[in-house]
Amino acid sequence: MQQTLLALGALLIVTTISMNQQRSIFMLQRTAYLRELEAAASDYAQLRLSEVASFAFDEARVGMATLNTDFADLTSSGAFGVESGETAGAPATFDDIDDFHGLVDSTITHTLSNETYPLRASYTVQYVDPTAPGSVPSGGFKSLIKVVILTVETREAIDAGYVRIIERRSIAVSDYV
Amino acid sequence: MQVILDHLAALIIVSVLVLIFALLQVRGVQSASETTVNAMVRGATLDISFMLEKDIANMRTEAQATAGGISTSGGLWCSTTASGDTTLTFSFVTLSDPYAPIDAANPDSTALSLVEYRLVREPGASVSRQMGAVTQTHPLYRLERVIDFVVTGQTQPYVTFFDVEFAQRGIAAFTPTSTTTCPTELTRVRFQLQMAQEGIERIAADQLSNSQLNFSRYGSTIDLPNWE
Repeated sequence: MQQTLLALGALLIVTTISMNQQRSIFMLQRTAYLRELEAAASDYAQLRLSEVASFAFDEARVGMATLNTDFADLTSSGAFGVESGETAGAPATFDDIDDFHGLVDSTITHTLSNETYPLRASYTVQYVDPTAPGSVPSGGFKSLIKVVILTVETREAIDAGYVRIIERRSIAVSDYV
Repeated sequence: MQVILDHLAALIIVSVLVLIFALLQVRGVQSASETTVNAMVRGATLDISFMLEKDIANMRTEAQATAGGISTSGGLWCSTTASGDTTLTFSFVTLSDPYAPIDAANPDSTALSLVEYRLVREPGASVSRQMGAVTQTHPLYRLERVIDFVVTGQTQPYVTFFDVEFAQRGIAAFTPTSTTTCPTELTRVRFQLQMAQEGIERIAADQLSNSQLNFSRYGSTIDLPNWE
């Protein structure tokens, strides 16, 4: 009886140590996976923002080759988003930067070095006040600088059931150039 | 003998426990080694990638290369060669000193060099990756940085994938590396790099599940406002 109890005690200790070891290994693997995921998200964000920045600065500037410093005709921030003739959620139909405002793409399968990563991206576009670049301007404010904020999240819950934001990157686009 | 027989069950249990402890110890040591190797490979991947990013950001146009005294005959000033989806060489003209200041009054006075990033196959070396029932085998390469035909740096021979793509002004999509010379109005360059980890051994069935982590990957898109 005494030996049996000792054996059970020993098994309990071994089981506890083994589970802790497995947990430790799992955490290391998870950290490595998240690091790869972050690299993929960063690559995706950089790629997409460089593409977005290549669009026209504003609907009023589409096809315009000359510099126009008058911003009265620019789209007001309240009207950011798709315009007539463009389809929400279909960037192929977009022609200027603020068309991306409010776009949420939940079907991204980004490929980095032959490995695919399921991601979710959302876009926010806003004007920048050159005199207070850190603040969010009021609704009617217009300027010749817009900032595009791209938030990339995991599409699969990997953190105790929560989707995790893995990259938030922005790019300022000026109509000066 | 009597003592041994009396405690046979206890001895068997102790033996099994010692064996389990030994296995746990081996797995623990291996896990720690893998973590260290993973960090080292990650560092190596980022080192060469950041160098390439800087060189690409300093890329010169054909006219600038000519003004800087670099011969552009044969398209060497900006070209790639590829095999399948893997870029084998990527040559372009860039600043000799990546951090050199540019004289605004005489921008062509900054020294230029022809840089080539090239994959060199490590003879007979490959790494395998288990994907369920399928085993993928990747040949291993070194990525060399060659300045004016002299090798100035290289990675360890664990590169498994390298790809360079170009995008032109007004065209969002990137063209694959089958392009042999850089397109006109090049505005963006994208590259992807993958390196394998050294010394990963499978000692238990459950390690198959983490085989995707035995690689380190990096990708970057560089804008070229200089080319606009």
